[in-house]
Amino acid sequence: MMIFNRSAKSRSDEVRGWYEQFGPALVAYASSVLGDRSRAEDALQQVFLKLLKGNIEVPSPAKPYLFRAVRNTALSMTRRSNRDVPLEDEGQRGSTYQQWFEAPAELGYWSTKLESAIRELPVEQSEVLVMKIWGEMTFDEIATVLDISMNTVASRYRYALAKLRERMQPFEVQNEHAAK
Amino acid sequence: MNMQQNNDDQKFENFLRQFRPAKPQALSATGKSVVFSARFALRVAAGLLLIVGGFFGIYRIGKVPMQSTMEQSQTRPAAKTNTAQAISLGRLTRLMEEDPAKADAELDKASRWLLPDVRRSHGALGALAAE
Repeated sequence: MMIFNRSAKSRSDEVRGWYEQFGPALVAYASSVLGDRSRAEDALQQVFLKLLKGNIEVPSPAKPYLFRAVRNTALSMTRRSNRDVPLEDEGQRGSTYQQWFEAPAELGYWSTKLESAIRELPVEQSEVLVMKIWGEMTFDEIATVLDISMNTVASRYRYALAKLRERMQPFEVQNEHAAK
Repeated sequence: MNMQQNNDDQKFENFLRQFRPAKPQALSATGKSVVFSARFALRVAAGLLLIVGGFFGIYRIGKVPMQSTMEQSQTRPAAKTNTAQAISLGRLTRLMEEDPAKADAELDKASRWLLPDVRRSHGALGALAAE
């Protein structure tokens, strides 16, 4: 019994450790898929609670598995929400709105700009971008998560980066001036 | 050219990494986030409202005729008779044939009991009339 308790506890600690370590990137990833931060949080909670409660074998390394699990949950939420009538629209969500990114006060405006630039990208591109930049994943790992070739991942990433750069250009210029 | 592009990409990637994804809410012990719970509570409230509304509707349907009958018998015995007479189609048809002016007057009188009062300020018709 003691052994079981100890192993359940270590499992719980492991899952909570993943949540601490990958949570921010995972929720940004789910936001890029769902286009909505609150629902992204729901998706994340669902995945991690299944891991906490269920007897699921998580392969090592855990990161690609977690991204895939969050992706599947987010996609099934999207399918469900297409059938449901939304309870509130974007405008009504104002009071519970949470930004996707945290930045120092002087970058506050640009963090909003970055969020909207990512929202404007096609989901196939934004999800690759988020996994690469904020998930710190390799093209190979991303290809495993999405079940596509590495070349496709690389090309989606370059398109995403180019589009984002175009939209964030004024900031880049400003940033370079500040650096000088 | 390609080297330059790679360098630029690298710089831009580093610039993007300055923005950190916001931390998610703490892992909930019950399995439901605040947003999910709020939505669930809204659905439950809507369901309850429907059930209560349904019961109230049934109660009113059952109670109103009894109440109005009691009120009419206590305060307006004549009106009850008039209404009953007014809604008698045979009587109205006969009156229309014999004396159209009297039939009109009877209909006017009956309408006070049969139709809703449009002058009442909070009634549905009042609201429609105001538009």
